[in-house]
Amino acid sequence: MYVPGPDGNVFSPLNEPDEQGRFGNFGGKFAPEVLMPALEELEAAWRSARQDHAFLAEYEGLLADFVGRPSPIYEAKRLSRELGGAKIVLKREDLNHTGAHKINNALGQCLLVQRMGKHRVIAETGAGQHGVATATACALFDLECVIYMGRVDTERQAVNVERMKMLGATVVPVDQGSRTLKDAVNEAMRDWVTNVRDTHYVLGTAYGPHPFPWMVREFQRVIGREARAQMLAKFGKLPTCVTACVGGGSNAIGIMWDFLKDPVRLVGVEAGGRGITPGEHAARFSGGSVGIFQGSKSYLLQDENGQVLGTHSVSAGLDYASVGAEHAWLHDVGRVEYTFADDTAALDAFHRLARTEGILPALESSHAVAWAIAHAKDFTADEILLVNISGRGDKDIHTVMGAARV
Amino acid sequence: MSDRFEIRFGQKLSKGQKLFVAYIGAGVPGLEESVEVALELVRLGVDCIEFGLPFSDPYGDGAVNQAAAEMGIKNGVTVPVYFDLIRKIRAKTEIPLVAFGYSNPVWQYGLEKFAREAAEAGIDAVLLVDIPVEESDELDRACAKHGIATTFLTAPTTPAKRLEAIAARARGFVYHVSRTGVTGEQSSLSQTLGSEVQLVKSAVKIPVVVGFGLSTPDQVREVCAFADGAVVGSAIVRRTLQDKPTQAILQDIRELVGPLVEAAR
Repeated sequence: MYVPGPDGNVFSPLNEPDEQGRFGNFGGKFAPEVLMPALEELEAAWRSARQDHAFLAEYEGLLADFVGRPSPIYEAKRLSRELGGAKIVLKREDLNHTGAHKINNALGQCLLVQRMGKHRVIAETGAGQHGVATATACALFDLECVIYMGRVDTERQAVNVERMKMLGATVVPVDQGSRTLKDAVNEAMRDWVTNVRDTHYVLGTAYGPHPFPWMVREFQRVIGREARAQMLAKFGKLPTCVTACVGGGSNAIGIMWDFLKDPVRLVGVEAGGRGITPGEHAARFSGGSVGIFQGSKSYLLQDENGQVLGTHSVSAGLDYASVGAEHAWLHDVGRVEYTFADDTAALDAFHRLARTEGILPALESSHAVAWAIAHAKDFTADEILLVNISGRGDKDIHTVMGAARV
Repeated sequence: MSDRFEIRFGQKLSKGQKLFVAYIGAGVPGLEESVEVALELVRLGVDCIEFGLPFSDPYGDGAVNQAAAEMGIKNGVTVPVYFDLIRKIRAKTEIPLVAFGYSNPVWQYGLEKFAREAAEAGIDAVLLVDIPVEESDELDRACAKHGIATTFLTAPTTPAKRLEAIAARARGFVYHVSRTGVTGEQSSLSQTLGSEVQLVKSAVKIPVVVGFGLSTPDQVREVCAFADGAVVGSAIVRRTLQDKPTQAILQDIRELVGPLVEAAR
């Protein structure tokens, strides 16, 4: 179901957003005046760093020696055999140091923080993986670290809260609003507005005001760049389809970007929660419309008055009302398909991958696994379905145990 | 009609007096009650009211204004209801009224429709916290077509180059934020505030008012020594959030705002 680009057979991705920070109609810099100079400073630092061989060498060195990259691709033979149809191959971001793809971005941004001469870092976190990654990078670079996390998420991801504290970070539970990820972002923005002169906000996903969606994508592109080369080396061909879960969308844009020009079907899987009715899910492309939220124009779950709706997902990391601007553009131009998996399917996928392959996927990644399980039969045995296992599921054991009791 | 700025602000400033601007949340403590609060402020002599259009996620605001936004939404403030409230205030006063909020409810309603109906209801200016000058083209076009001013915040972090861009587009007044931070009361003002305001005033030709964190007559006097006026928000909003009969809330507002208005004279 690959859709050719408007100029013929090859789709033209946007190497970078336009001068206003937009991907088509999406993105931009919808931020309070007090932050605008910091966003300009960040963009300038990022533009200079990405051309700087010393910066890139340091970043790549850390990815190799500290994170343990490249992460392998792994053929899930038992799962493929049980399902029938596609040969399912997993990209193992769960094997990264700290247990998820988030470390790729946290290290990149913290290197930039050093370059900008700032000493304090703040971040939001949902599932806690970005918080842990940021706390880890801050320990490594000796930066002060404050993590905002919705109260509900601190409870369902208690292990990650303890990890962050052990790494020297301060974790601030957020009691505003729905007490989940969007409220943690609000509080982080408030901190940034207040302490902008000496603080950098390490945004954890390819969302927010320009240059975050672009910069985070570039830090996560290593996933797809590696996977593409590994596919060619190991199987001598590209996958027929690549799938990833989409919360803010950083693991998905990271694995998909280097396949955009290829004849490869790309499927993003959002959180279907308890069903596509308002407040019960986080499937922005199924139940949302275009809006402006937390710095960016994108698809947003909102009511008819423009108030942001509550969301629900069994996975804290997908439990968010909006989605990265580049995904909104890729949706509208039709290059990437966006669908959803509900809580039950994600939990089933979690158990199934555990029992067939000995891998506990994060509940976020379990949504992509759920799509693969449901659609494996759409493919033939010589077609490869590449699934991004964006993180490991150890952090989710309590949630999964709780769900089993219900 | 940006004329109301020229008339009211012009008259006051030409007499050597300073401006007092009040911020309150629409629908707080109730729909009709927020109109009563606004009219009480008019009777107390405020020169302009920023009437907060509530948004579910006001990340530029502190806890008090967030609580007010939540209450406004709960009490049923949508854009049409908001314009109803404005009409009721406008029927009784000719001071400038500013629609103050965040962009999403306005974009969702439709910019063109919002600007047209805002003008009909009696709004003079629109200020949206998350619309910096770079993102203001569409808003500016829609507002200009219907004779509404767009105005902007300036911040301690705003460099001279950005001030020029803001000066080129801001109409009515410019709102200088007294500190890096969200809205909410504070005990003392920044040492550099005076020089910041001088910088803003040298860039713009319209009045510059200062807000964020002001709540006492002394602070208003301090700010009015170098700015064209002062804005007080959270301190008033906090009183409107009290679980008290409306008359008692209005009494508290009289006690708070009377001396603040005096301080700006």
